[in-house]
Amino acid sequence: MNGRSAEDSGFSRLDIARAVALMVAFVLFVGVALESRGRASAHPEPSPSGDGGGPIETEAGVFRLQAKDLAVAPDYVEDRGAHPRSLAIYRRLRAYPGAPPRIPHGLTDEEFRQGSCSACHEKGGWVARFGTFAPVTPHPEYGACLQCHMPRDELVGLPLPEPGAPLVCGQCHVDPDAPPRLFSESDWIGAPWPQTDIQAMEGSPHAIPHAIRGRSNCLACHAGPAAIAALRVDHPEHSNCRQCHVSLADEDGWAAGEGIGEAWYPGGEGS
Amino acid sequence: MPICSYLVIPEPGAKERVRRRLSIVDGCEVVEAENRDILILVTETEGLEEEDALRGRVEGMAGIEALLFTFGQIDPETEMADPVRVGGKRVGVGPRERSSEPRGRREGLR
Amino acid sequence: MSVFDRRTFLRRAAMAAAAGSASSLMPGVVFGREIDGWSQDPAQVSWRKTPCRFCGVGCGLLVAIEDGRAVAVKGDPDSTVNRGLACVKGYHSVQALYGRDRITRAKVRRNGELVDVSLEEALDLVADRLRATVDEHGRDSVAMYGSGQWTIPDGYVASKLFKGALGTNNLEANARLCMASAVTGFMSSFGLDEPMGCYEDIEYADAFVLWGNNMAEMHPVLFSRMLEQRRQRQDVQIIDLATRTTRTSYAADRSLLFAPQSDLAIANAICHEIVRNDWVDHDFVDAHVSFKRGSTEIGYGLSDDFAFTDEATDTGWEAYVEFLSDYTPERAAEISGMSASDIRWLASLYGDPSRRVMSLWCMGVNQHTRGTWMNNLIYNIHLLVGKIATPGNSPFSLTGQPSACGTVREVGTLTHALPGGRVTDPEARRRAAEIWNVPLENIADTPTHHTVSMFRALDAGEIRFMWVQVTNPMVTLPDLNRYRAAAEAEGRFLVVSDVYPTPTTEVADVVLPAAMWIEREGLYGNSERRTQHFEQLLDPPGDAMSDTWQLVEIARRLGYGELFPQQREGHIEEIWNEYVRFHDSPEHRMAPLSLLRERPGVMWPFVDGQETKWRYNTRTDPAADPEHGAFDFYGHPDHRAWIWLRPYEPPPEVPDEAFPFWLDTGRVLEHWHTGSMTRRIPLLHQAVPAAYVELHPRDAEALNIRDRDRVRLVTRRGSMEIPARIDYRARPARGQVFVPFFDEALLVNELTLDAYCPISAQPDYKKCAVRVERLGP
Repeated sequence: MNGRSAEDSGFSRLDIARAVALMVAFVLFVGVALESRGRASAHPEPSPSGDGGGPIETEAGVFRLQAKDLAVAPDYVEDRGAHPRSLAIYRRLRAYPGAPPRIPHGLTDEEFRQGSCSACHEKGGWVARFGTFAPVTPHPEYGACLQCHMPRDELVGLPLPEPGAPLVCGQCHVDPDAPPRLFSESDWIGAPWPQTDIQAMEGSPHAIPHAIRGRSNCLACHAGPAAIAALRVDHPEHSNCRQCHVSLADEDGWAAGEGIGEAWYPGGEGS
Repeated sequence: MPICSYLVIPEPGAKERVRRRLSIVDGCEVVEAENRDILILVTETEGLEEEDALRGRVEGMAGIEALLFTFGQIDPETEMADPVRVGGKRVGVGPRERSSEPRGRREGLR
Repeated sequence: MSVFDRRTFLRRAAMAAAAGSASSLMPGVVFGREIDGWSQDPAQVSWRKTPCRFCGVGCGLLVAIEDGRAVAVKGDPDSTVNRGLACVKGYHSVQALYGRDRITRAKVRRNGELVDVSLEEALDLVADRLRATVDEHGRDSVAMYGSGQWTIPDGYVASKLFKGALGTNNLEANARLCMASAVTGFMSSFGLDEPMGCYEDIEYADAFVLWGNNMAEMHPVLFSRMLEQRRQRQDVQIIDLATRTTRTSYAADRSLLFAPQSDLAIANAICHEIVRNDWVDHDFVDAHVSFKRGSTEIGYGLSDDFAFTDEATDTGWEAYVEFLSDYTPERAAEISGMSASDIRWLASLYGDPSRRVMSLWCMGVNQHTRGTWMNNLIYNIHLLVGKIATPGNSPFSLTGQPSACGTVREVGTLTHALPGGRVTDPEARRRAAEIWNVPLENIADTPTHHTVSMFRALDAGEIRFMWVQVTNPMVTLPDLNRYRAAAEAEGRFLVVSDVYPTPTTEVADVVLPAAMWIEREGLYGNSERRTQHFEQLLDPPGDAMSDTWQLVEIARRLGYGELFPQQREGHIEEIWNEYVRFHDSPEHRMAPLSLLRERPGVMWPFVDGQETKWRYNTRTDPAADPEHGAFDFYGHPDHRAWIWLRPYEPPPEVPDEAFPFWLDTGRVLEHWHTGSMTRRIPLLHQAVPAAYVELHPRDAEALNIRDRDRVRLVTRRGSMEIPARIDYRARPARGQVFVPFFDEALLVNELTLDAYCPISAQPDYKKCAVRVERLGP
């Protein structure tokens, strides 16, 4: 009855995590403290870095990016005719909620080889070449971007457009109507997307429906000109987001699905 | 042994009355929403015929504007003697086709 | 909520479904307390732990299971290997379960075509043919070929069936192609296999020297751990020694290129400089090191009747210093093309007593006609300066497959090995006979064929029945044309267990549908001696069955039922408990299964409830006896580590006028080995849809080749047409080209040479001579 015991523990883990959402931070903190103690006793050698426990991953980036770093008036986006990013495109770039998104735009060979993503994606800002604002990574501490994110092969090795040249879709994007390029058909169906508007009451702060790990700086995705309109907050100046917004998902899952979830269609590319 | 769930949308002002009426029917469990005019009805019956009869009875009840089917475990083949299947496969929701329709808008029995 | 029955479960599921619907109908709706736990999560996803299916790093993953399907993945934050991070293969790994062309039925070849049959019929046929072949041609006419992707129970049952019951040592695994030189390196330097350190060394080391190891692509999660250390600590350096400029080179602080094979000279020159400058840790060397000389001019295994056994002769410090006098930095610079000053700088890095140094390597060192020597030479450097078996001082041999260590090395699914021992050792045979409950004379005392030799024997007709599980030799064997012809020859019977159609199933006589990864219960063992258990989380499709149980079914049909008495329910635990009896000593004790179920992996030796992070260190390893001082290299009878005098010798085939380029082969980040799984993951296939040949831009210019032009590659063994890529993701040094081997439509192994390291019998896929011809745009 191996399956059974583990199944049961799976449920209880989920439930405990939900019931004591506020304790999660505490548990994490204690966990880290325990780990660093364990380390200290295991080696007579000096600790390699700081207290040896490293940063608390769900907390370390919370205040990394502040509203002032992203200070662009919201209407500036439309004024500049920035390329829109929609929730649908956001989802199409991911195999399932929480999956690392693919790179939707063209890269020069050099950019691809060197993985020089942080030039645009660490702080964001206007990228003339794509006619849009670069979305900001919520985890700039990971330097090897291409370990998890990758473009389609056709998009690698595209030359940089001439300065001032008009934007041409095919220069950066795969034709969204082109048939998906598959080695063989897939029956994969991703997990459902979480509901984005969970409120206890009308006017209550929205709950956080996704996991925090690797995304502890909320403003990276929820503020600034590159944020998806549907996910953008109207009060980025309050940078202590989790003072009001609690995580329903904790680190064990995500919150209410709004449906069964769209099947991930590998051919669809944001354009 | 079918287990089904429904969303019950009462006529304006009838929520409390509907809740009370449903809660005294055998095989029915009712949970009302705290902040909206909607209730959840979970039914548990001995067989398909009985389930149909019960549904007919609820549908005919005064004060109910709409009854939406949301869940049904009625396929005898998915019945198992063992409460939890070995091997980690989650039980409960039998083999079902995924649909791209949001769950709430899926065709009910009506 | 530890126990609740099906009825309660269904009522809750019903309630949750309704609540979910309500919230999409009326956003913000709140029901009473009793269903809150469910209404938040009507998707009812449960997250379950497993090690990743792919590389030897062994990341812990959490897989989301919904409705009996895997629907999402994330890194397991509790796993000390990856701490919540994964790589793109890991994040998309579960998609490999759902390719529409999964093999779900058994197939048998009739009139040249593979036709579906019932699994029973196929298993009966396999058993009949196996029995008939043994009866007609003897027990050494049948063979099994598995892999480092076998789970531990798969490999153990295979070993017991072939070595214990059938009585043949014709058992090999593709790990021979991948880390055999690492094993012989460990055995000759330390007398025991597998690293003394662990991944945690990364957090202590001040310098990382990567020997021919493109970690950014092949071990990305460990590479990220190194990058994180460099980000946090000012003085950390990453040094990339390679024949090709890769993503790793760009991330490194120094990137130093050398000519193929010349790593032998560079390593010796580093030791030369360490001795010349007296950076030697004499206390360490005096107390813990012996010096050995082996045979030289040992050949390359190119002829079918090749045989070699190395012989160690005792020698001493003076002889070693004399040996090193041939390897001045200037001479090594001449051989390698690396500058003498860079070699001196490397030596100073290893020699600096204030810096902890970690060396890491994988295929560049192992797939090498002097692979064993190269492993020895890296250990020599660390032993000379005493930087070993302490936190951050770590020569670390990385593996490529999820259970190359756990299954192939620890179970011993190689011709010369038994679980925890060697067939030539009477004590190991006696213990195996006892635990397996078979007559001692069943266990043959001489090794038969290593992998290349085994396929040569298939070609020669000495082997007539072969069963292949979890590997794809018709893509991965060197000089492939020869061995494909062997498999297809008249009178050979090839059984292949796999999950998707591959070039190997194409030539099979019987195909058995296999359960993959979390469709069955199993255990893997990663590069750092960490054993990881996974539950069955999904039902396998159709008739698919685990490799373990396929072997048990065949064993029973052959009349060995009493050796495999397990019930299907719980058989993995029973097999594990039998297997760990082979490792019941402080040098190798394994954690109990109950603990492995609980934790995302436990390292062995596991003694008195403690993992052993650093072996041979008397402060951290309970098997090390303090009587020998701070360290006890108990693998050797003299309790010392051995420094080997290993010279530079040239490779067997070098570029000439007819074939002017070096051909190097390898992997890419996005694809796992032969791509049979990763190419069915849409994102990964779209990222790297086909193989290509990389050229240096100057070489390309000289041949008038532009990016994406078609070119022909020709070697003495075969030729292929392939697109060229110039400065795409990596750049080979001038005079070299590189081709990844994942693409079954562009089989670069039809071009490679089957020369191997005579000590390890591991082929060298990195060096042969090739001609490049431009075909057109």
